[in-house]
Amino acid sequence: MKVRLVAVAAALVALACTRPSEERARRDLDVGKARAGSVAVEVVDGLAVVRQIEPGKLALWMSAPAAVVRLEAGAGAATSLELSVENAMPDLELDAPGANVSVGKSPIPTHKTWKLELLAGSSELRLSPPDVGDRSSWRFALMSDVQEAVDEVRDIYRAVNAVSGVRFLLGAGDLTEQGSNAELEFFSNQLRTLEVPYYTTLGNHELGASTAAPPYQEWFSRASFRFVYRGVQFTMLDSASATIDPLVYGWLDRWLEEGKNRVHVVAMHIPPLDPIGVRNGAFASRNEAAKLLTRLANAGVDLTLYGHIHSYYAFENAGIPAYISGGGGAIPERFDGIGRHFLVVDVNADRGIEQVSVVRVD
Amino acid sequence: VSSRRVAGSLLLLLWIGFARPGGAAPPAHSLETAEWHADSSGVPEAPEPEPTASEPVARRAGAIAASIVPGVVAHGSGQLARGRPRTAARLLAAEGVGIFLAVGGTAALALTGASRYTVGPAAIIAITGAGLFGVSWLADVYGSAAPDGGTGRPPSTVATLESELGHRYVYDPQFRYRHFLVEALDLRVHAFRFRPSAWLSLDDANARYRLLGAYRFFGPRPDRAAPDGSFLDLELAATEHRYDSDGFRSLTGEVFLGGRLDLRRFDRELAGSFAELGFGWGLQAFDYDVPGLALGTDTADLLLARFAFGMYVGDPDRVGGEARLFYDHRHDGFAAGMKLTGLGSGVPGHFGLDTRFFFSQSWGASAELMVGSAWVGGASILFRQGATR
Repeated sequence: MKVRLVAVAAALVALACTRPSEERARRDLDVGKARAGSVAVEVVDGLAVVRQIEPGKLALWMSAPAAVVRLEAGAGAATSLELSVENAMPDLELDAPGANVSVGKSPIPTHKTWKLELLAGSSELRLSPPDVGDRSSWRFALMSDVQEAVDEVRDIYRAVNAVSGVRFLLGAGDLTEQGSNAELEFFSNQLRTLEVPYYTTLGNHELGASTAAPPYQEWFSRASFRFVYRGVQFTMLDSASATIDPLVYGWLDRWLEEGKNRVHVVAMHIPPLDPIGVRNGAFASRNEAAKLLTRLANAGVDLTLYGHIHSYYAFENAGIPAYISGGGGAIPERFDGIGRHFLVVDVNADRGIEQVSVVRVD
Repeated sequence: VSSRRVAGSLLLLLWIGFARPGGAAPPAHSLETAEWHADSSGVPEAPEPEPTASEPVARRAGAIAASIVPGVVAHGSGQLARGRPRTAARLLAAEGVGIFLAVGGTAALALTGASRYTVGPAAIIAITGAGLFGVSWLADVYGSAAPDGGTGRPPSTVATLESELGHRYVYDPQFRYRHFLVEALDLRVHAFRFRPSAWLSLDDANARYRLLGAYRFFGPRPDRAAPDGSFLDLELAATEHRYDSDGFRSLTGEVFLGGRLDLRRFDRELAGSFAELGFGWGLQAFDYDVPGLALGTDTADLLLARFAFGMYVGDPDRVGGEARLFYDHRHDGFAAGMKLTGLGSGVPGHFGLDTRFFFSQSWGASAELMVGSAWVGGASILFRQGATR
């Protein structure tokens, strides 16, 4: 019987992984890095995914409005480069000091191409829209939880395209049903009808069967990252496993410190606390949830955005305005009268969050 | 008679390997059956050992194996292999009901998108189904491995006063604390119970204080013996958990209705085992200590649900105790919910195993292991006084 008890205890221990997202956090550090032959690429802070690299060709998928790309070309490497950047701001510009640059054309607004003649050795390419430092008011949208409704997601993109002044669409996860390569590729292709870029983190549905190493990070972005645009900091956190890994908390402390003097928006998939606590579509540990919210409040975070729950909720957590918007088309929460929707957030670098509006799609 | 009971219990203990390292079983012909009737009046008699024909070891081993495979799918397989078709049929039926409820509750959750208006009842149905499924399987394993008459007898009374002093180790990667001193006092007067308890961190500014009050509708009491260990309790509790080094605290109020059913009432071949089920509701309030800011209080309600399968060992009124394997749907507390990835992220609570054993009329020990967001394990010394037996 002792053996049986030990076996049961061992099974319980095996079930209870206390750091399910640790491997994903470590893999974040590899996003934006690639090598082909004697050419090495590194996107600073992993703000773009290297989707293709081969001699003379580099294809990136942007996960932020601006990024710095460092190229290291060894002896004998080709100095001409075809640079393809998807999920780009329509007015994205390339600054490549010392290089001859010619601009290509693409029928897709978020797809930019350039041909460059680089100098041998190290090069630094700066990709950014012209308004990256502008401090006037602007707006972004939020859409999460598409999942099995990916065939109809273009309806939402059309509605986003119709809202004037939206600079990008933010995502809080659950782009797909299972997070497979095929689903991620299909979602990626659907985005071509969206006239602004889509910056997102992953959701629990992206974990699929490979929770430690889902292909998501090879397609869209780091699971946890931050970027600054027009004086507003956006911090995207990987809460897809109903927790945040201690490694990410280490990064978060730094990002929160950086964001103390900025308007700061924090987004993640699973909210720390579910407004309907009985359901607990939230962190597995309420203790961890409260600890995270204490950190966010201490750092003066201005807005928290979540997905996961397929409805719309507006509330406060630790005094921070909070919105759950899971209206991307996944099985909706019934009887709430919400349906497919997305949020539009008006923000100003000096005045903070000015307005949050709900746009119904159906 | 008393010495025969103790001797019989010890023999059973030895057989299942609890009391002797290695767990080597004595020859089957040395076993004695224990028999008692739950519906007898007054203080029930302990199982009376009676001689029985020896059961082939191979048959018992085969029953245990059958309870695992295919028993994990077809509950009752072990009982069938042991020649107990009636028990097998009952366990299979319980499994069927469990699957029906679990699938029905889960389907309701999926179809309603876990609507705020229906999620509570749907979750209760699903958890009840999962509990029935788990308990019917564990009961089959138990019934296949336990000697005739069971591994122990239920308590007929409970102590007036029971105190606990122990240590818990908590591994939670999100928090600095690891070691806790645990103190609790359990005071029972007639049908009422009061249990103040405290977990005090030895290496961090963290402490949890809890006061539980309960009323027992039926079951063992200090002043009244019960026919078996079955009971039904209504509990009210308040818990303050201070995370001073992390800058917040939570206060939880809760109401919980829970009970235990001695499985001998379900089938006599399962004597010595029990099942527990309970549901409740709590409201948790969080206060944040952020310098210079008055953030107000966040509140979140809490579905309380718990099921368990357990077994008695020896005679809990004298020398003996019990062990339980349980699921607790709580997401607060030290163990909190399990960090399952994928579709179930954040939803499940935690599992645990606890046991308590009294070495004498007064002194005993308990141990527990819980696995959720954190691993919680430890042991306590128990002292009791005022049992009527």
